[in-house]
Amino acid sequence: MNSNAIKARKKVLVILTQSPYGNALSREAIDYCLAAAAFEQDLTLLFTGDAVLQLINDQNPSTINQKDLTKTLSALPIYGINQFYVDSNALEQYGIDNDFCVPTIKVDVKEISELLVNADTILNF
Amino acid sequence: MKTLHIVNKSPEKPSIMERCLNFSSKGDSLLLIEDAAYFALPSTISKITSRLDALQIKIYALEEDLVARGINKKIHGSIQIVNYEGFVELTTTHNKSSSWY
Repeated sequence: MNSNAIKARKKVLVILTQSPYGNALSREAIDYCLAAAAFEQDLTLLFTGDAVLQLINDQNPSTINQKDLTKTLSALPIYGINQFYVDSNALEQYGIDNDFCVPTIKVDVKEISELLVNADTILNF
Repeated sequence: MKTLHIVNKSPEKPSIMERCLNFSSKGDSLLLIEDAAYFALPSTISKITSRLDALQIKIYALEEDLVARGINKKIHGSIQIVNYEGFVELTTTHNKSSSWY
């Protein structure tokens, strides 16, 4: 174990890969982020794969009896979480690239692997 | 800063392994567990060995999952077999781990 392991404030990279309403993982990721933010952890969120679909504005999941995920996502900056990275390849795959519920930074494959390298801890949802 | 990448989905879902390899760095390690154990078969691992070699990624597969699936004697020679204890040890010899699923 190196000294990073005992550092109180960790750089946590949260990798999101799932669509918003296909399963509970997207909501669980937000629950984790809120809890970790309460413990003043340094959080970075990366949306890749289907998770880029979480960012789309104008979702109205009341039609399927679910809560609007974008409402919670857009509240994260209030809790000091404001590093939102999004995989540019995934955006291209779905043909979406603007009108998101939070301000995002687009990153390519190389920049994403650097995010992994620079993190103390990685959590995948 | 080395990362242990843990994959658990079969080659039938190639986007999972693809994402793992895309975001890996030189000297990282890859551990195949659950249905990803099927990647250890020579015909499936050969599809990704050039990329693994380019990144100098060491490949491990979980013995319990290989045995359960009857493929522990059929795997490619470049893959190192670890049991649950070895799995734990890998998590301690890497700075962090990332589970792709």
